[in-house]
Amino acid sequence: MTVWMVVIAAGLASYALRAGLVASGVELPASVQRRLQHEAPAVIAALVATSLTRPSHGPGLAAQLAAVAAAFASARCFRSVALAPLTGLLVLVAVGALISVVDR
Amino acid sequence: MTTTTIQCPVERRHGPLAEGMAAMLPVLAGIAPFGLAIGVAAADSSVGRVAGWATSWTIYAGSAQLATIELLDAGAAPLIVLATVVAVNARLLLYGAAIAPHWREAPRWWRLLASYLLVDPSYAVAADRYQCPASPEEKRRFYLGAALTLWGGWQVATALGVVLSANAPGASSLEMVVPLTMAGLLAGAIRSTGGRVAATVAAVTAVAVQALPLGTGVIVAAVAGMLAGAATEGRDR
Repeated sequence: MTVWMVVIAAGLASYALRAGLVASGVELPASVQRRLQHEAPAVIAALVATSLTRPSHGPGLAAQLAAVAAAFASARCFRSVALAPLTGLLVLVAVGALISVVDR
Repeated sequence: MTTTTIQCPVERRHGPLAEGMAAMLPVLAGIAPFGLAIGVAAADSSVGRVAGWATSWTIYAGSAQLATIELLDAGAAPLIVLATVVAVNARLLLYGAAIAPHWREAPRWWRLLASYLLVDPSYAVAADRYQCPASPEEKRRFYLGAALTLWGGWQVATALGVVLSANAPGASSLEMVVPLTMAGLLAGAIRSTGGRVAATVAAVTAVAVQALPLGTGVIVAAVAGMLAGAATEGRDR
């Protein structure tokens, strides 16, 4: 199987996941729908936490945690997702530099 | 007690399509560096520039795209790549289930098209606005405006990453942009006590089950968080 076939097959699988319940018109029970209200924060939080557990070549975990907290807080305060990575990167650089100075 | 912080438009100056585009632009600005990083990763891999970029319009989900490029680059078996994509993207099934009731009256062709555009930011933006009163037609136009803006921007960002990869900083320096952008998305997604509990439980569970294979830890953590959030709101009610 070529690279292209895998890329296309992966795309078809992704589309099937997206369209499965939308196109079929199958409606989930109210109790399930209520649980799904919390799906977005749960998945996003899981992805953030998972990404922090991966080995990184950049600053240490403390700086990364501070950066994520700053990104979260700035998006919460200013209601702007665009600010989140900028604020987070600034904090990442600042805390990373601070830690390296202290370590020295 | 459940508290919500939803802000609905007081007066409508533009149509729902333009409102959707405007709502997505700040999100796109935050996501674009991620697309750039994926383009750089694709160009630096053995997958090939065009095939790597093609994941943007075939798979169209950043984390699954990265997983595909990394696994193909590492020489993984096709079935492993496909299983990983399904595991990482399983949340899209839940997004579809959550948003389907809002599109029930739409023609089948529209639902098939809209499904293709369904991904974390388009779902988050639509789910946020769908809590405000609007007709089914307005809801559909808002979604299309937001989702098409995201799709177009994403294609451009990943293509730029591929083209500029020779001069761009290494993908590793951009890797923190992904969790930082998602942290911003998380801030907007948490609107209640149940949401806070769901996010906290999911994050803790994700760390605890990180060793699970094929990215299934994310799914396990998400389900745990979702159930905890629902239990919290059920108790408060």
